[in-house]
Amino acid sequence: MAGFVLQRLGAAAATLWLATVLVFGAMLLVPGDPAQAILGLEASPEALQALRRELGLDRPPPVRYAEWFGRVVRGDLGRSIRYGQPVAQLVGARLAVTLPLVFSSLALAAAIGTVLGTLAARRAGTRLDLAVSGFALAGAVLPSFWVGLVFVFAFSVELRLLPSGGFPGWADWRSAAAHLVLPVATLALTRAALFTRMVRASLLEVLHQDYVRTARAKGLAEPAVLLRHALRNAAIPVVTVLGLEFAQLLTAGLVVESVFALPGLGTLALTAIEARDYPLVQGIVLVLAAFIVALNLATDVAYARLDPRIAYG
Amino acid sequence: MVRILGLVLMAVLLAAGLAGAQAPRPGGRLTVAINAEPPVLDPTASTSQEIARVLYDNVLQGLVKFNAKGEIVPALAERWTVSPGGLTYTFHLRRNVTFHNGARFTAEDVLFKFQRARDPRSGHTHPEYYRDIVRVEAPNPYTVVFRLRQPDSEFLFNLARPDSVIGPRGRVEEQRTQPVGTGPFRFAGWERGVAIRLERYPAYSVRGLPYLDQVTFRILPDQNAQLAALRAGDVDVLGYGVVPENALALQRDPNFKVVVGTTTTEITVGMNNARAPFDDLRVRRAMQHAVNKDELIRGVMMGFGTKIGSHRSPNEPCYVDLSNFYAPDPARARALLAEAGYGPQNPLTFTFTLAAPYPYERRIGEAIAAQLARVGVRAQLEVVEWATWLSRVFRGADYQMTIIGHSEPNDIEIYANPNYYFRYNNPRFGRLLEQYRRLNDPRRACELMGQLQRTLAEDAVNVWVMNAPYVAALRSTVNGWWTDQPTPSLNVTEVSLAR
Repeated sequence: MAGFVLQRLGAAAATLWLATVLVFGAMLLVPGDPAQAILGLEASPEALQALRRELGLDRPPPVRYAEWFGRVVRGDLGRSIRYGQPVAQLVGARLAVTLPLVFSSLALAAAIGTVLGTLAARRAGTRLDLAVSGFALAGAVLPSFWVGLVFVFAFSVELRLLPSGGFPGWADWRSAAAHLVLPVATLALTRAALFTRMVRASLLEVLHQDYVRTARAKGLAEPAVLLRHALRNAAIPVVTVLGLEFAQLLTAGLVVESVFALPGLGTLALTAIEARDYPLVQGIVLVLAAFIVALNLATDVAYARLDPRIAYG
Repeated sequence: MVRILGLVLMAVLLAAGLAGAQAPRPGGRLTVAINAEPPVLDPTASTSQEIARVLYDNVLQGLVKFNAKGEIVPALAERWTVSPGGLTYTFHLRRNVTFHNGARFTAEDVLFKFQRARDPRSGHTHPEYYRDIVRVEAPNPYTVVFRLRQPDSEFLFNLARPDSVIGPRGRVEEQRTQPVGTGPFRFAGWERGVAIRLERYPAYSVRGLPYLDQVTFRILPDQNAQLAALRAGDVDVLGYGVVPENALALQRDPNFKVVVGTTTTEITVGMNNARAPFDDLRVRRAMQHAVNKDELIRGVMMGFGTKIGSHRSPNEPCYVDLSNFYAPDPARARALLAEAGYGPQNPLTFTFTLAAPYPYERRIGEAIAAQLARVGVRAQLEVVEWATWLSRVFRGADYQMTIIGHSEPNDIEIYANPNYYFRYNNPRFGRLLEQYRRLNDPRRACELMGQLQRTLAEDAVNVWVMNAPYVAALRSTVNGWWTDQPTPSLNVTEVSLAR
């Protein structure tokens, strides 16, 4: 297992490096100038030139990349061009919103998905199954911005129960949590649909396996059959999807972030790209890639825990 | 008798009530939604209009300023005199002014500011506004004398611009993120991507102002999120650029007021005058006849906006109404196109580049493409994001047709620059502009300003569609909000909250 993890870490480092090279190259290809983004439409050519020099943008791209990379190896992500603040600080502040949002939404979505999926699989072909499938279909086709807006109009504008958007910071955790309720519910609802279908399909397959029949035949109570034998084996594809969804939500939360005016990583990434803020874009990509790599690793380890037949070595 | 006493009492109560309703109540916090975040917080470091919206006159002031009607009024200078030849301007400074860091404001700060402003290497925005200044002198700590090389009819106007605000002497770099000024509010914090906070400056030099204790400018780019936040009571004001459909919805709701006024923004269909097909005057004139501005205002903007015919807004000085200079006339447009060699067999085809982040302009651009199709013109729409627009269209002039709002006040001088992205090159226009600037006679200057506008219309440089409306939405308890935008500014100095 340790050898496997080490090998994966090596591959992870290579993946991260490749990601930064690709993004750096892509940013060079698109037109745009960070100095103009800061100085505005009417800036004089002299002022633009001076700022470009100040920001070090007048040097050849390979030199800029090498310098950036040298700093990153020493643990310094550099400074944002747009904001003049350390990239690590900006990304950290956004992760404090995005991570709780993504973790809570996925946990909620997985919980809803497991309960509904199990119910539907157990009662496959009944009206309940049909209702659950209907919910899953609705969740899959309704766009999250629309669901978000409906929630805002229902719970913020009409009922005045929850704030419509924004984020006050974690200093007041109750208020912070209240600001996350609607975004989490929006993301969870649209994602729960997927999990429901996954759990239902996966469980239906497992419930027809011989070992489930054996468990029932030896007189095991139904909840024990479900929890100990069926769900555990049905979980593997669900865990795979969980890993993929997490990676996607880190930035795909952008739509929900903009509907709820949440200062998350998605909006920061968008601002950084629009402002051609190279260090910030690079920093965000690096952090995102690190999360995705770590997550893939965690998913692989989780497989082994769920199914002892899967061994790494 | 009792009845008379009762009537008198009622009258007194009524009068007291009315007086109470009129006198602004001090105190309170206001949250204003803004569509975009300023890149820095110093209008002398960047020409982005978002900076002035938040900081102009609220935090940072100059010698003179624009009031709500666009008139130039005293700010840090309490009065000024101009010598008969228009070469010497003497400003008498207010004596009781302190900066938000406690330092006293004196002539030294003015000298420092204009030394920097005149130096093209200092990074100060628009050094050309100050190029006619030969010397700035301070005979005493509260008098400043500007000596000009030649008369400049725009000098006072330029001193009222956001570029001319004055900070404490020696403080330059820090102003970009922590601005210190002399205004009614001091800067209290900037949470990147989220909000900019201002708080009342208790030592403000004008007694009794401002009324509010705190103002938060919240960055909310999404129009739906803005509407929801206003309705849910999370923000009090949608500061500008409310889309017409939201404005109409809010107008019907008694809890809100919709403010509709004018701006200095000319929504301009820019044409590359140096590149085919728009290097041909006939083609440019055909575009003028093919575009129906009334239809655009009615259909796309739901009645918001004012038709214009040159690069000047109705609320700017010396405006001439040229909005009917070219009547909408599809037949005439077709005839002009035929003269230029375009017809059904050889239809005029070009790329129409739209900038993604501007909702008004995008919609209008799409509708114009449809209007052009009626005269057989194929405008192929291409939407690009802002940084690409800046670099390709604005800086590189690598485009055929585009549409954007020009929000700077009094900016007709861009047409004297042949390298500007329209690539308009008419030496006569440049000479006229120079004559206008050197005139010391306001009436004659106005005549020349009229000629400048007419020259642009005759040359059909661009299609000036409309003066963008100023549309803001307020909770009905918010009073004192500016109706017009003579300069982009969300001035909260005299804003108050009713009970």
